Amino acid sequence: MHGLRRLIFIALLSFSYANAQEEQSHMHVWFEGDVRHEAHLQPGLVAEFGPSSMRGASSGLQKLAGTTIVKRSPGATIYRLSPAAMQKMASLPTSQSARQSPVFRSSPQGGPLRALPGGVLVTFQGNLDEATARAWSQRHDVEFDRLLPLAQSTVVVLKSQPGVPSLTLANRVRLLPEVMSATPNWWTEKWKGPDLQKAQPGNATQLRSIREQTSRRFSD
Amino acid sequence: MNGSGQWTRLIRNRRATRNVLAFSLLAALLLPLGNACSRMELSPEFVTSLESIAGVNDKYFKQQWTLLNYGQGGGTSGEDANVVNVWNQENFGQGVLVAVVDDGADIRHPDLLNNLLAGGSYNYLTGSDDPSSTDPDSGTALHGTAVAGIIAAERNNRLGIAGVAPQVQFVAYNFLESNTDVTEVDAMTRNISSVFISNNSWGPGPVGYGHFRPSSSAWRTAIETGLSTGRSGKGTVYVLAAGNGAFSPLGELGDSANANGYANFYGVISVCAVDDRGEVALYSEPGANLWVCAPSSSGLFNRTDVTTTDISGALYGYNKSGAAGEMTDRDYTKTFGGTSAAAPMISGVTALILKERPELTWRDVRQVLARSARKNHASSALWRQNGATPPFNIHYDYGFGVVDATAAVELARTWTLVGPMQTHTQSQASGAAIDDTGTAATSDIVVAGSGITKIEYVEVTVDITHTDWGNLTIDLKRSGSVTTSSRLLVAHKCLNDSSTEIDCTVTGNTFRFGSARHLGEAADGTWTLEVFDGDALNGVTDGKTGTLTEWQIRIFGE
Repeated sequence: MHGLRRLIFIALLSFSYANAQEEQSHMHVWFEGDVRHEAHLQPGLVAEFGPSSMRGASSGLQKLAGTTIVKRSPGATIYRLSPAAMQKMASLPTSQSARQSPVFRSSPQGGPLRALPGGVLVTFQGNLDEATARAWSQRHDVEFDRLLPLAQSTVVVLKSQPGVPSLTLANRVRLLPEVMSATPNWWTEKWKGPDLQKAQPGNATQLRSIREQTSRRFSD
Repeated sequence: MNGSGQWTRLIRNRRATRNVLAFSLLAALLLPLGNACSRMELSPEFVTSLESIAGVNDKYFKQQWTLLNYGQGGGTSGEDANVVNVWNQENFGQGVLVAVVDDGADIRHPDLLNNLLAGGSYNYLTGSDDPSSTDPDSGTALHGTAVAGIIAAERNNRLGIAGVAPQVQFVAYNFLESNTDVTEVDAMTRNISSVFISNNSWGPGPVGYGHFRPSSSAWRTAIETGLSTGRSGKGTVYVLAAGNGAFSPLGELGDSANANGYANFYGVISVCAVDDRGEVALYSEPGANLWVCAPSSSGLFNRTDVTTTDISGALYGYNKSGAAGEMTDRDYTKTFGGTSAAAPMISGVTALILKERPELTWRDVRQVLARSARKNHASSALWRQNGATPPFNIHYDYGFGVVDATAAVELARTWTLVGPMQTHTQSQASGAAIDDTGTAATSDIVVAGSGITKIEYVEVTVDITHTDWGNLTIDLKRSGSVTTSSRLLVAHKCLNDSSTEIDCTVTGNTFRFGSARHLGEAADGTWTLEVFDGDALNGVTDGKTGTLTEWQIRIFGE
């Protein structure tokens, strides 16, 4: 089953390469309530999740020829894989702790990276206890994971495979009558400081001047 | 602030009589040297005396200019968070619990260990209560260790540094190591009935590329859960770093704090950074949503950064073997900074406020911080006053100014608790065209009978169809007796990974902005949204046009 999922995932990425010019084929849709969002697949990019120590080395992604690390970001490492490297992914041993997903952006041109580590957040109208949520899950043939302790609404997390399957599941579940919103559990880019690009002393005056111009643009 | 500002503030404190007397004697001996005398020229003996007056024996306290700035490192005396007077009142943040939501923390660090709430932390990778890094070489837990030290490092233990609230309790959640929508929610609500303050020195990326970075609805619901149920119903105080992306890789305007859907939410305190001269740190993002600033690094190589705790030992952390420009003591770093360092300053001061008045709600805390903030960089022509009585000073780089712990705690002592919060929400369909000439698409919302006489925050959600939101400048204006305006967005470039300009897109065509600038004003009146092609005003016409479909104003207040 796991191997099948990997094959589907690789096939999807390979397909992405083959049709790089056909943006529509890379566009996926997800919803936050009734608000429609686009997610544009980034051909050749793969996000790997899990503990930092388990990413790359354990999955073997780092060792594949034609694989480069695009970005190390909190919670995920983003790789660029050549088409050949993606084919080779199929033969790698499956890591127990690392998971992979295709990578998306909100626009075909660029923007913040996002990926799908698995799971769907389902928001219900009113309060549900865990037993009710589990029963609801069973009734609709979805796998209950946990209840999030929120005051204003009930949010149930469903289990799903990483990648596009979680997006597909969210889009199916959102149409169920009791559901207010169903969104895939996204990984999104985060920063933590202080990896600042400090200005050299020689540029200080110039940069201070540019910074002041920025401030003035905000002021009326 | 002139060179004697620190003396003046210390002397104002009635309770620190013995220390102030000693200080006054010392100051009387030295002040004749004149204000022109740089504090850098002060003798080591003076510095030693200054430290003894501050009552601190931590080895590197003299490097902590953010807490007591006497000009060390070339900064301006008095440009600090003014915490020493609060300590002199025996307020060290006792009984307050802070959650450091970050990449983990070295909870066994000798300067942190005694203030750790044992068993209260959480590791999202292992499910254990130990958020120390499982693989320190991977760059995890070092950021959270530095943040935790700024808030909670133990004072007067003859080790390294003192935290702003040196007897506060803290827990650490390493959410960034397993960063997803689900863990975001968990980290904002974990142990929420007990958590007074949630410190979040992180934000949505990438930094400096100009993109709109919304928060998830689940995260916002989690924050609202903390506001309504946290701290036994008084509300957890959420402190967020406003962001370090003011400059793009091209050296132009990069990110605005108001394009950060986390830092512009009404339930958080969005924190900017100033340098050791009290001027905006180069990286600190501007925005109408900024609340207060705190001292941090300048963003320049030749200036003093922030000294704080680092992962113990020489193997890992910012200050590991071979690290350039670092301290010899590998348990500490002197290269920390950014709004990552400014946010925990505010969390620490909030702990001091809540030690003084634990019954304050999250809304009281926000207002105490705003009303007691110090107007820094007084020479800036960009300060404005809003329509509150008395007015607040407001600035797109500084919010209400720089945090002043002494003033905040003093104000908290006599603060009258706010009444129940009211919310007024109103929408307006528009259809106004946004052309390529810079002519504004305008739309009015007339608020009447809202019952809100004191605004606490304003959110504006716009529904705009436009090829490139980077072309847009958006203003929220008021007319009548109150004329405060809020510039919510400035035309700017969005960049791809190669730093090539691309269209700025907003998924769903809607984005929510925030403004702190109307604090204390009455809500009723005419609110006008102006959306125009700001690039066109700069002479750039690209043929891109759009439509203001609809907008909504949500006013919070009492």
